Amino acid sequence: MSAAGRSVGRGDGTRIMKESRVYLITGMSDIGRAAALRLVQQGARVAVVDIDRAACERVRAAVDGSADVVATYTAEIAEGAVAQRIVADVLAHWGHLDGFVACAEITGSVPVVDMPMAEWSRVLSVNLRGTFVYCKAVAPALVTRGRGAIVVTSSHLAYEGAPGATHYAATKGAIESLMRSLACALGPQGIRVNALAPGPTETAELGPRRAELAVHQPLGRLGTPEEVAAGVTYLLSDEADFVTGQVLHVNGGCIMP
Amino acid sequence: MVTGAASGIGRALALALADAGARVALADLQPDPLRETAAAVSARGAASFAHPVDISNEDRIGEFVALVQEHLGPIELLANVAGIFIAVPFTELSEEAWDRNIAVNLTGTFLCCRAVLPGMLVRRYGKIVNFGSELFRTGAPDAAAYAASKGGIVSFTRSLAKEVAAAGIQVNVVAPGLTDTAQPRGHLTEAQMQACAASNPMGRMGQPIDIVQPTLFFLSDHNTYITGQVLHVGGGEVCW
Repeated sequence: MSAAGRSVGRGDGTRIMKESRVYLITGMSDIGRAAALRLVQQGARVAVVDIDRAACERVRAAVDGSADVVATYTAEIAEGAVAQRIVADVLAHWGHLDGFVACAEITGSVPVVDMPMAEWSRVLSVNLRGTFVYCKAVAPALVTRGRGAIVVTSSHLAYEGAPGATHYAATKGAIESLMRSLACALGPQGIRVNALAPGPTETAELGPRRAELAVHQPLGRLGTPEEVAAGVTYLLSDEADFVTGQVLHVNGGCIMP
Repeated sequence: MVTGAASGIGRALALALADAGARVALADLQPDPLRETAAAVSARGAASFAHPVDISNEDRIGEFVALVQEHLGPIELLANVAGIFIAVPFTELSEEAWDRNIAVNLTGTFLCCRAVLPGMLVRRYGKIVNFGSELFRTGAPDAAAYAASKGGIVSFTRSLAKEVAAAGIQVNVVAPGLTDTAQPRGHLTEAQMQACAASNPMGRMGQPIDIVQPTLFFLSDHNTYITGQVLHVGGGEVCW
């Protein structure tokens, strides 16, 4: 794609859909991938970014190599210059950008008293700085267009607290406050900014905790990535035209803040 | 141990703790006003230890806490008041400014908590107050990094509270509104300060003592069963 990152099966650009929306999504794990696929099903074109080439290839495979998905992988998910290059590439490829979804995140498990600075910084960098630099990179394109929507990813753990993952929870609380600030700052330019806070969701990382988590939910089960993605596409859509600065909890009732 | 003790809320808290009979360790980046606070604490007859320290530097914080324990004994109470406020419109917010705001406010709070926890865990006693801001809840168009750092502190606090609750350690957040100190004057004019005061439900801005009193409660043995909570201290400006 460019020096900013490497493209995987880049679309040929011959399909012109002038009215089609263009979205950028970081993070192609379960929820990010589900959101990308849902957007494509709805007729949008999507540029996806991940640190993992295989994750990019999975989403490309899921759309049978359609030109509606362009995938870029980069190890530098928290570097502003890389984010700006990727946004510039999307604008060069499709001419405009309608919105951005920040799904890239990592976590870890270590109590505060034992947490090395490197572990703290690793999680803050990907989750928080990564969200910030992409919001900053996409804002000028959305301001130019005079409309747009940003969805960032929080978590029920920002509210409940995450013993053993204080750094993860801290990034999610910080992302919510960043989201509110962005909603204030960019609202006058017609840009909406919201957060989606998933509860425990059926993802690859969940493992054996699945049954234990499900039993405590009012709905008696975990959410699926597709159900979370439905929240993302709602917040991006015109149906949510008057919704900004909000946290949408898609969690089966696990917390009710 | 009080960070940000050289001025504003931190200074007022240090003096109040001295009045309450505590030995007080004072941390701040600014050596001269820090010395002045230390002198005021001593004048109240309280033992104190003061040393200039950058709370975002894990080595310096480790050394500071070791020195405090040598001079004053175990740290039982920690108030993470130190913070910086970088005010700039979002579209002009540089990565450097973002990093600095997160490093001092959020990572600094983490590092100070981490440094005092081993002693608290051994003695199975400790009370920590971290400082949020009403802006974590409202957002701030010209202070996205500051607001984010404070939102991070709130969720960090909830998590840490659950992590150490069974060890007898309580961790809470005091979230001040606009307070009559030097910090807001770095980005607000006096006229803007007065306008904010007039529009506050209680018709005034906070004074440092308004913030200190609830902080003292969280740090006191009157607080026996509260942990992981956020208390907004802002004259009713933020009620949710």
